[in-house]
Parts: sequence; structure tokens; C-alpha cells
Amino acid sequence: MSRKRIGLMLSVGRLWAMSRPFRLGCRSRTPGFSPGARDLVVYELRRLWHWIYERERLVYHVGSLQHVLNRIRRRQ
Amino acid sequence: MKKPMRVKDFAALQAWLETRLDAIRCVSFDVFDTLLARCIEPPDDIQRRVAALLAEKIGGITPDAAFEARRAAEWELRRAALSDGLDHECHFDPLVESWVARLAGHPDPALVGFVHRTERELESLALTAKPGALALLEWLRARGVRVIAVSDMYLSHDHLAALLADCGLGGLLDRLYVSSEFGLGKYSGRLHVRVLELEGQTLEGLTPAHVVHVGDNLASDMRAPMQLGIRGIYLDERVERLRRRRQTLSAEMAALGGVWPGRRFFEVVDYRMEQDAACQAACADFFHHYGAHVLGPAFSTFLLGLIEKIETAKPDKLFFLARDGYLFEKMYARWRELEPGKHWPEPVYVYASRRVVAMASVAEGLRPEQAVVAFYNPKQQGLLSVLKTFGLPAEDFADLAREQGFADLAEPLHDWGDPRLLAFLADERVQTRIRSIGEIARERLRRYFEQQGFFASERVALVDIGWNGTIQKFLRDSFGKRPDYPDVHGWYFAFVAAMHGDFGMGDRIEGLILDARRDDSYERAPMDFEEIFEQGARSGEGTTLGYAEQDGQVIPVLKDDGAPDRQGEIACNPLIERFQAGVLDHLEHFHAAWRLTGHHATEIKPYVLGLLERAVVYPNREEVREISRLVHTEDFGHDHTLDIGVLPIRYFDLLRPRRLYRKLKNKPWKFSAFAHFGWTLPAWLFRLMHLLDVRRRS
Repeated sequence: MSRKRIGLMLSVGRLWAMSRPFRLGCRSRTPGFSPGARDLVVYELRRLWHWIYERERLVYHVGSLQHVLNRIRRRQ
Repeated sequence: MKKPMRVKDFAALQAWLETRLDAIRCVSFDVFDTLLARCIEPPDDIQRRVAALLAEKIGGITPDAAFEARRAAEWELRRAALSDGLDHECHFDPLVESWVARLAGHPDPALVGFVHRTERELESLALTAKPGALALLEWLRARGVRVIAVSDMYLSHDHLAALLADCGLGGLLDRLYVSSEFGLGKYSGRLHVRVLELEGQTLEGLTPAHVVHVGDNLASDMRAPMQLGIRGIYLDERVERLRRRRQTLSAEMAALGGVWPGRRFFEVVDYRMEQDAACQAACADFFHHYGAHVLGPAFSTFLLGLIEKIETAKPDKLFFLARDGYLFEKMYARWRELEPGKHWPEPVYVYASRRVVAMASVAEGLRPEQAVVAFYNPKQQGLLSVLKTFGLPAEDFADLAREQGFADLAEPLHDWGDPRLLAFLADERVQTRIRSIGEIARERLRRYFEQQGFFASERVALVDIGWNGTIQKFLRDSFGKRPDYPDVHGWYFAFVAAMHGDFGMGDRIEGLILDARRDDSYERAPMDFEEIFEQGARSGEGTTLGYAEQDGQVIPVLKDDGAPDRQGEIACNPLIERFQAGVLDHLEHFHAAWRLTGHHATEIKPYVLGLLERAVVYPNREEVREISRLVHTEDFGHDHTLDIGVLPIRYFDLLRPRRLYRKLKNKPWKFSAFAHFGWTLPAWLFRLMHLLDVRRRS
């Protein structure tokens, strides 16, 4: 099998794209499986922020830096 | 103080430890998010769920109020600990007693026991050992290193030890230290000091330099131990951390409703399935994977809807209709095992088919509006199909048919009001013959259903894949006037109401995943590929052709295995079993996720509809190739089989969309024709065209 099989999790973007024919073709009254454009943007931006901003690593590197500075200070 | 240290996973930790084993006498681990992972985030959601279940048990309290009461009790205990000079730790036992007393107005040991059992059960469902944790602990113990766990946790020592044992780590830890038992936390360093003292009693001459502590919290698991001279190692698992953040974000989005609660719910299911090694191994097989990832969510959501219906309507018995009710009965039986404390209606698997109820329904004659049921068969053969659908021997009616102008009984009738057909049905000699056959069939059907306890019940429910509710309708037509005819509900996976509308049943009939009366076009994916759902749910035996008597009992007569369509089905039975094994695997994790989140079927259904839309309209090449191997039969009295797959189309065909649409629109799985393109735009455009056509026709 060359491609990974499609699992349980569908990306929010894909759900939105799949819902477009229903909005355009049926003008469906219910939201169905459409995540909503605004909620989609909010979700993706927050996911991106989580991906970029690593508080744990930042704290770790600050701690490492402090450790190095302390050692330099002690030597002086 | 030593340099801060981090590792990215357990393999890296093992490599680091291997070179320093001579100097290390004890390795201490944090528990949550280090040795154990939760499938649901944030962890508070488990407490919220316990609060919701407690509120339900007490009655008259909202889940939010119950949770707030817990918070208040917890903060009171934490403040008391601080004023006693301890860290702000609290212990689960006094917390639960205080919480229950606040809600119930008095101490209640039964409710306290309920909270303890529920929290333990939910934590156990949520937790799994992290991949690699078990192997690392075994490796350390084999090298004579003492292995301990230190946790900042409100649960008691015994409670946490039981959870570790549930996850398979219990026997691998020499000792477990829990902050709640000491009133001291890791974050202040005081618990680490206490652990060193106590461990020093076991390991003579133990100094902080002999100890390594590993954890995911920078303050508690790295900085605090390092200030004491213990080597603190930060477990920096980025993928796992992002997974937890994503799930926390999903939990927040779930409050918006729509597709979000379902998406959050299946994140939990997905994580659990990923951690289940047996499930992962079985999913290497396509059919198991499809059962677990496509049919599983749909059928499990249907089952959850069914459970909710049972709680509301409280039927005496559930009649699972052969053959497509087969899997649903197995799923229901499993759900009953998973929820043992409740009263569940007895399930009965009944052999009934469209054919046997149709035969019984003509005991008072065959009306034209009944006869047209036969023409829903895509391969209908006119009058011959009408006779076969109602189990009427064609040779008995051939002479009378010829009199009405039928030269060939098998000639398809595209005009459902064909004058020859109307004249044939108006012929009293035809009706007399039909009635005599119908009366015998009705009597046998009555005796069979009587034997199954149908007429002895006050309220029953029929459970099946559905589509038109034909069996429910014909049963009512045949026996509805009897005084002991029960209050019959029909709960189906899908109800398209095409053949007979809802025949005046109103809310006594419902499609839980698809109900055409709701006019929600998002639900239509099952209607666009009914065959896959029928195949996924069916039993391995042949359809019911009638009934016979044996030793005073009425037994079903099933279609002979030698029939050509049965041969095809029998060859596919092993594939169907693999589908169903996948569905049942999914159900285990689905149930756990349901216990943890408490979501209703209606909340998770929008996401399931998205999964079905993906599977039906945007299949990939492998799905089309494998599913096209299935043989599908039509239950219209013929021996026909249906070709599921469609020959792939070419790019050239896309230039003539109307012709292409006409060519594909009556195929059972029209969207499969686009799978080989490898991108979804052609199928997307075809879906749009299809929906526009549906809208125009309606």
C-alpha cells in the first residue's frame, strides 16, 4: 500500500471543502458537518499558534542560558 | 548545580542512562504525561464528567453546579493545608466527603462510594502507558536500578497504584509517592526531599547525586530536583505535547456545537485506537480498517442513538430484523455487557424479510399501490417481479396474465400505471388465487412472531438498517387490527421514506442517521451508497423465503446456498466478517469515549456525516478496488446481484458533464468512478451537480 489510509480524523479544512457543494447546491438550512468559515479560521490560527509558540521549550532554554551565565559569573 | 537536561523520548533517555548506570542507583519518574498518557484533554474534563454523573444520580442539580461545588470543596482543603504549613495539596478522600456533603446536604457513604468508583473507572478508561514506558522500566529493573514514581496528584496512593496496575506498570515500580499523602508537592521541592529521606532508608548511603528524576514539567520535574542536587531530566515530547494542546483546543471548540463535539469525540476514539496494539495490527487488513474507521463510527453512533431511544420509549423487547439487523444485535449485546448495571430490553433476532411480510400482506388481495414496490428493484422484470416480490408462483398466474395482454411476464414495466397490470390486478380470479396464498403465508408469519413473543409484548421496537420500513408497514397491514398488536416503534439506521412515505407512523418510525423527512441534505451520504451499509451489517445466511413447521415449532426457511447469488455472497462472507470485527473493535473505544465525554448521538452525528460523505463521495483507489469485490444481492425475490463498482471515467468524459451525469446517476456507487484521478476536484464537481439535480427534482 503506497498511501496512508484515511483514518477517523478529517482536517477541518477538508470538512469545510466537502460542505461547500451542500451550501452551493442545496442551500441547506442546517450547518451539517460544515465547521463554519469563521470558526475554521479561529481554530487554524490557534493551532498554528500552539505549533509555533513553545512555552516549555522557551522556559527550558531560558533556564539553560541562566545556568551558563551563572557559571561565567562564578568563574569571574 | 548541574546543567539542565532534556530528552525527546524514552529511547533517548535509555541511551543517556546506559552510559551512566554505574553512578545511578535510583530513577524516579513523574506519572501523568510522563509514564501515562490521557486520551482526553484537558484532565479537568474527567472531573466535569464525574460531576455530571453525580448530578444525574442526585437529581435536581446541574452538572455545572456540581462541578463548582467540587471546586469549592477542593479550594477549602487546599487553603487548610497551606494554613497548616504544608503545600497546597489536597487528598481525594476528604475532598469527596466534603463535596458530597455539600451537594446532598448530609454525609452520604453510598454517594462517596459512587464518586470513588466513577472517578477510578473514568481515569482508567482515559489512561494508557506511554509507548516505550513499559520497556524502559523493565530495562532499568533488569539492571538492578531502583525505579520509583513521584506524582503531584490529589488521588490517593492506592487509587493511583491501581491505575498504574490497570495500565500494566504496577509491578514495575518499587515504590510510589503521591503528594496528596504527604501534603507536600514536587513544585516546592519538599516532596523530593521527603522522597530522598524515605528512599535513603532503603538504599543505604543514597545521596541526591545517585538519583535521576524524569518528568514533563519544567518546574516540578527539573528545576526543583536540580536545586536539591538531583539530576532532573525534562521529557520534551513535542508531538505528544501538541496532541494534548490540540485536544484542549478541540474541547474548547466543542462548546460551539455543530461539527465540533463530534470531531473532539473522535479525537479521543482515534487516540485510544492508536494506543491499542491489537487494533493497529488488525487494521493492516483493509476490511478491518474500513470497519473500524468508516462503518464503525456510523454504526456506533446509530447504536448510541438507539440506546437513547430505548431509555426514552422503554420497549419490552427489541426485534433485530434479519439479515441487516445481525451486526446491530451483536453491538447491542456488547453494549449491554459494557453497561451492566442497567435494565435493558431483551433482544430477539427475528427471521423476517420483505418477501415474507409482503406475502402475508396480500391475504386480503394485492392492491396496485402495493404491487409497485417491486418496481423499486433496479433490475425489475415487470409482472414477474411483482409476483416474485410477493412470493406468488409465476406459473399459477401465467394463463391469467396472458388474458390481460402480457405476452412476456418478464417484460420491464416503466409505467407503474400500466393498463395491463391494473386489469390483471382487477381480475377477481387473480385476487382469489393471491388471497389463498397470502392467507397461508399470514398464518405462518403470525405463528412465527407469536413464538418470538411479539404479540405478548406491550411495546416493541424493530431495529434494522431500514430504508423504507417495509417490514414494519406490512406487519401493521397484516396484523394491525388485532387487539394484542403491540405499540411498534421502528428505529432504523436510515429511513428514506421512498416507497410508502411514513405510512402514517409519525414518530413511531425514525431513521437515526438519515431520515428523509428531516430534509437535511447533509444526511444523504448513506442514501448515495446504501449497499455498503447493508453489506457491513448483514449476516452470513441467506434471506428468509418463508416458514415451515418442525416439531411443533415454526422455523424460517432460508434461501438455498446453491442459488447463484448466494454463491457470490458466501464467497464474500469472510470479508464481511472482517468488516464487522473492525466495527466491534471501534465500538470498544467508542463506548470508552462516550463514558468519558457523555456526548449524545445528535452531538456527534454531524461529524459522522462528514466521515460518511468522505467515504461515499471521495473514496480513494484502494477503497474502490476492495469494496468492488463485494457481491450485493437485491431482496426482491430474484437471484440478481448488483455490481458495486463503476468503470473509471476519463478526463475526456469531464468535458461533457451532462452526458457523464446521466451515465452515472443510476449507478449504486457513482462517485467511485472518480477515485482513480487521485485528486478530489472531479468528485467535488460531480457532487455539486448531483445536489443541484436533487434540488431541482424536489
